Amino acid sequence: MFLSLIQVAWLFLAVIGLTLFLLGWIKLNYKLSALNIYFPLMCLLGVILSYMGKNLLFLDPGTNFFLYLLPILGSLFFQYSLKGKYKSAIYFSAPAFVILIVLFMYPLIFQIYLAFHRLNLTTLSAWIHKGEIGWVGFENFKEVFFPHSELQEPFLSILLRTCLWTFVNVFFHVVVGTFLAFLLNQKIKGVSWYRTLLVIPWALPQLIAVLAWKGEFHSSFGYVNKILQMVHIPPQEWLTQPDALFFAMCFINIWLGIPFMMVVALGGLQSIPKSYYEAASIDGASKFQKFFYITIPLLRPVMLPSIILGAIWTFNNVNVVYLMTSQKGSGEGVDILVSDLYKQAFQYNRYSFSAAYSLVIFFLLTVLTLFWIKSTKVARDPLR
Amino acid sequence: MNQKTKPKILTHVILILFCMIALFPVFRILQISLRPGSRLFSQDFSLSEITLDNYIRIFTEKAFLQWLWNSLIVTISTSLVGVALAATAAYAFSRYSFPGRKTGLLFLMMTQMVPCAMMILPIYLILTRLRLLDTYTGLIIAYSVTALPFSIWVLKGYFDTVPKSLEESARIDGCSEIGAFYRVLLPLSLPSLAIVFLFNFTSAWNEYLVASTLIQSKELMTWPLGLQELQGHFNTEWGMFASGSLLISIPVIILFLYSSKYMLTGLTVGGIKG
Repeated sequence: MFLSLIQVAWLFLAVIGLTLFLLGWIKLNYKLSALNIYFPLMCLLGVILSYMGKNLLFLDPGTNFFLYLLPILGSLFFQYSLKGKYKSAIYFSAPAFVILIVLFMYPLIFQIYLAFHRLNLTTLSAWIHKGEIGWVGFENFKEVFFPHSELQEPFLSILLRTCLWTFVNVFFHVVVGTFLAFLLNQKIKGVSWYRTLLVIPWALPQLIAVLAWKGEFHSSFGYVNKILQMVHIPPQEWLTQPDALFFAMCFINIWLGIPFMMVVALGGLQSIPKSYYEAASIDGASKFQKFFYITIPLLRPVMLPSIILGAIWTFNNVNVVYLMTSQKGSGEGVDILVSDLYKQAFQYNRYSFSAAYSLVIFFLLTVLTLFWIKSTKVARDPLR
Repeated sequence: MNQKTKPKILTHVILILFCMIALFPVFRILQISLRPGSRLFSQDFSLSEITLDNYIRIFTEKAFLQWLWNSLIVTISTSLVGVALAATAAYAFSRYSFPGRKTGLLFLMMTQMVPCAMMILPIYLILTRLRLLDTYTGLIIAYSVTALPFSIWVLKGYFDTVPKSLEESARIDGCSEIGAFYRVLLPLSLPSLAIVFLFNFTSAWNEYLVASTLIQSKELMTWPLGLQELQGHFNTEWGMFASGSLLISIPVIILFLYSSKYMLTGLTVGGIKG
């Protein structure tokens, strides 16, 4: 109890101190950036930092460049982009962006560094204590596509399964969510009650929902098989047969994701002005015409960003798959890319291999998303 | 008359059906939690057997309060840091144009695409090197960035709807730049700040995977780790799992439903009424 309070107090002091340091640093940069010696000075600082960083911050020689690049890039930014202006904007946005760079960009760079080296359970302690790590080049990337270990499924089959998983889930999220939104948008009694109850799968903590459903899918104790027996379908071994397990996972994830799409679609429907429909009925439009020429075109810009976001979330959803398969040891035949990645990293401790693996996944995801954003042209909308 | 009521009844039937599917696990958890330990797996249920045994056991046999305390301290610290950082950054993005603004917004969107499983590994290794593994500090650091990009987006969207003239008139009356932000804009956007706080809070409160990687000792376990442990490899304590789940879910659900009013308007429309 006291330990936690002390740790948190230290953390808060550190955060406040670092923020003040950062703001002071920006102020110093603004003062100095007009001088001639500014850029050489920052380069010198970078070199000093990279030399000291080895001992101070436990950074590795390979990722050290990050540290000495920071003052140099920062000075270039101050001299050529800011030119002594935009002070308040920089002061306001700096803390968040520095945190994002340190806790987001740096791990990403570290990941790239790791992917070209060998780090697993046997080399871990040497790395922690002495910072030694061996270079292997593209070997880890080769292993992703041509596995020579029995712990791995072929990459292509996992990729196809992930695509199937994403498509099935998002499809049902959107279809059922929009359908429910239409029902809720009508004038019937108790709409707010229905809405409240239907949002509960979203409100329920994911871990509890998944574990509770997992119990229901148990072959002898669960309710699912009991319901199946009532309609004379033979009971299934949901948690051990790969195909049945994949079906159960999809069902649970669809159940979890519907409320989000429902809420988004409902918001979209309610934002369509009633006058549009009135005008259309004066012009003699039928119900279907109203639906296809008013509702869908106006719902599209609201739904598309959420669909893309939902697809990314589903693609990246480790929780459901991991919780459904963790007790079985391995999820042979049901793992999607990210859950396989997590298992390679933390069950088999193949650290540098999974770094390479995750870079491949990230590359795939980036290409897919950029392609999608471009083809639907939603990028303009959120960026104003 | 008859033609009009028929579709309405059908709508009610469909909605009730979906509500039942949505609530099914909740009912089952309630039912299992009230059963005596000897009859956990039977599917029928009689009122005479109701017992609060499982609720007593989870407090006495397991460190349930400790789990909740751990979760609470980590979550609240994370959300406070998150909201403070997101509000200032969103203000900069909403009110000023500066070089790198568009790149920054795109960067925020990119961060949403990175798999969580991908970030765990480097953060785990870096925290190992910094000797912060298995501490509250390490967990808070790991959590603090996860909700930040989304929070900045939401707050920026809200700040865009607050008229700029309000701050300008405050500036004319002699308010400083920080004062205009702190005294005018922040009080006006309290509902959206509450949403963002709540979003940060729930995402950290319900987080399981990162915690299970970074936390090893039993004294530091957050509640998802504790409940997951109840569903252990060999003996599943269904009764205690169900009672613990219910105790945790009820406040979470109530908080969520209370805020969902704001969620609905705040996230989609922008909530100009505020």
